[in-house]
Amino acid sequence: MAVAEPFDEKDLWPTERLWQMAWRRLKRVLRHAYRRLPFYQQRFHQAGVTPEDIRIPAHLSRIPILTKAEVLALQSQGGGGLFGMEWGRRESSVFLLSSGTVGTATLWEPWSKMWLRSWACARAYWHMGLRPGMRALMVAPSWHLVALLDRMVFDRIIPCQAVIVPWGTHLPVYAGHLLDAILDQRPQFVNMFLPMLYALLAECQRRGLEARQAFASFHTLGVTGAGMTIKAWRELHRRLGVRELLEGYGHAEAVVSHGCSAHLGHHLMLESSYVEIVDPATGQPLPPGQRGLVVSTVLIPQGSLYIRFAPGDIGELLPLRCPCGLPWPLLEVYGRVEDQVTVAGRALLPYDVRACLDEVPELLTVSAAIVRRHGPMSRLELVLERPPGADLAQLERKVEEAIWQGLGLEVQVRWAQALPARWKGTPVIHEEEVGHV
Amino acid sequence: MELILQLERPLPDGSRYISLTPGELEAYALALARCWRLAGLGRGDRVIIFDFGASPLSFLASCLYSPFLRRGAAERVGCTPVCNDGVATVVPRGVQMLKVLAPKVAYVRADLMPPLAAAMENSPHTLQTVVAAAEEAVLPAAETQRCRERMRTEVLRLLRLDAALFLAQECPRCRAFHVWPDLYQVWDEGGALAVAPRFSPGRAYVSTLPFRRLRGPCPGGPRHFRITLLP
Repeated sequence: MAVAEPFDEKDLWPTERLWQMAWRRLKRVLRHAYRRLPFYQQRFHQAGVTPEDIRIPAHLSRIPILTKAEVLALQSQGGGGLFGMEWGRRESSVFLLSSGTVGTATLWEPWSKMWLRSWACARAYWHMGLRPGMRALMVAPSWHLVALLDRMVFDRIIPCQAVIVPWGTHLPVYAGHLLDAILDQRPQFVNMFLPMLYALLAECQRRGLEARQAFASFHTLGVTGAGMTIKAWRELHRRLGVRELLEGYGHAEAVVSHGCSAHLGHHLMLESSYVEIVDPATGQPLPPGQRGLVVSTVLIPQGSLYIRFAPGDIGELLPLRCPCGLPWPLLEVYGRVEDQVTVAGRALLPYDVRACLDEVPELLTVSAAIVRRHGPMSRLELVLERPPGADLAQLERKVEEAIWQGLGLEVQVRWAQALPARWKGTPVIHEEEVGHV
Repeated sequence: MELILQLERPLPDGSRYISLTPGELEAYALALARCWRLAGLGRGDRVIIFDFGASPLSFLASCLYSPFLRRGAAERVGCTPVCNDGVATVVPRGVQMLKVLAPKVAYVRADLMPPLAAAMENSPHTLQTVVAAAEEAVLPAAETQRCRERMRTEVLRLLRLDAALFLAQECPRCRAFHVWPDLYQVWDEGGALAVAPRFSPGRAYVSTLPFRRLRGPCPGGPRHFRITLLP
């Protein structure tokens, strides 16, 4: 299917040509880093590799993977936020924060890099439905990359009639301010973090307001920050009533990607980042269709340069051509390495369990927690919020059947009246925490 | 094209929003740049901001943060900013940034001063100056002095009147609030501070703050108006 409204001619290129473009840019970044950046000169030297040795994608595994832990260790040594992995001329710049479960890293980002990177974001937003003259809401805080990209796109690339900035930050405690801004200013394009969306829904419920009514002005609602199963997405879409509910995936260091209405993963914007999937144990590249560690390289050789960076996400490049017609390859991300639980020798992510639970209609919006034990686990253990008025024995049988069919595992289910607020979603909890339910 | 900001407090007419044009943003950012210079910031320095995106401390800080702004305070002064949220839970992250980025000055929401002072008291890292900012209020003098001692640093105060796009900052030399007469008109309205931005005269605002205009110049800004806020 052809793309009805391409952002530019690249939307009409074959996927192979997009990968070739990304490969050329990647080679340029490697040469730049080797010549000019002390951090990478040392890294390449220690690995005994030069950019000329990298002739095909399989050779990339010769360059060590960069982890957040390494970056944090560099930061802890001082250096004023510059570690020999930055490049740029004298121009307007800011430090961004890349905050996550393992710590906060800083990135130095000049205007020209943000400008180039925002074209990938603009393409993603265009595909998601943003058009000139719309009213857009900026939810991301100023320290976050998304705020900078939004600023560029809404002002300069796809000029919006108005940009609305709510008071507070993206933490759920500010959901009231955000809901007020939505109701009063009626934005059409909004990109936000999934936990904030759930907080907004709770705020609607508190006010006795239908979510469909609150979000009636939205043309597009983009959500990032957590993987949604397709059934959870459908249920959320039904409740919200927005024209487009689309998932995004990205991180401050490199990746920009967006979901489409086909909901088959995220279209990867190869103009700003190159993505590999590697075996977490061996570091060797995995072909499309196999799940592994997401490793990415930013393709704009300015500012903080992250080469073969692994933010700790597990995903796969999908060997599919998207029915939406976009040629940009599909990346699906399932969760984080630290959330993996091994049961009967099988590594599982909360996404896998959630996908099974979503097969039981009564559990579609019910929170569940996966229990991680210190020793080996022969069966899956779940704590589920008790749906009001449910026949628990029957529901338990349905859960057992869904887990067996989906994962081939036995499951032990515990029911709780309510899970703590911080367990909402499908978190992994330690066995000691089960007693707190 | 307009930037619509949800305000911390409603305007006198009850509205919770203010809509800024590109021209207003430029002049408002010039006021913030002058505050930064008064705090001692210059080319090549770093500044950390503990506030929300809809606060003028944040959205005027850099053209990278704000749509429709061509030159923020950072571009005018030559600094590099980093933002942290305006909530107490992320103060530890901000203190970590003092170590990592070594900023010279911090601009901080006044309500975050106690948790920041507590965190800095136990940290070997400090800054040259901390500026405590509040909307139609200032940090009390006694609290300011306590923060100076706990943070082991200069503490200045900044007054925001968001309805009038007004910023005035305490001077480290004379301890008065400096106001720029080319940007703002200031007058006494029944003993209270009233202001109007010259770049947007329709946004005049009468505050509830008693004040006194000081005579004579300050070496920190010989052509600035100087005011002191009365208890």
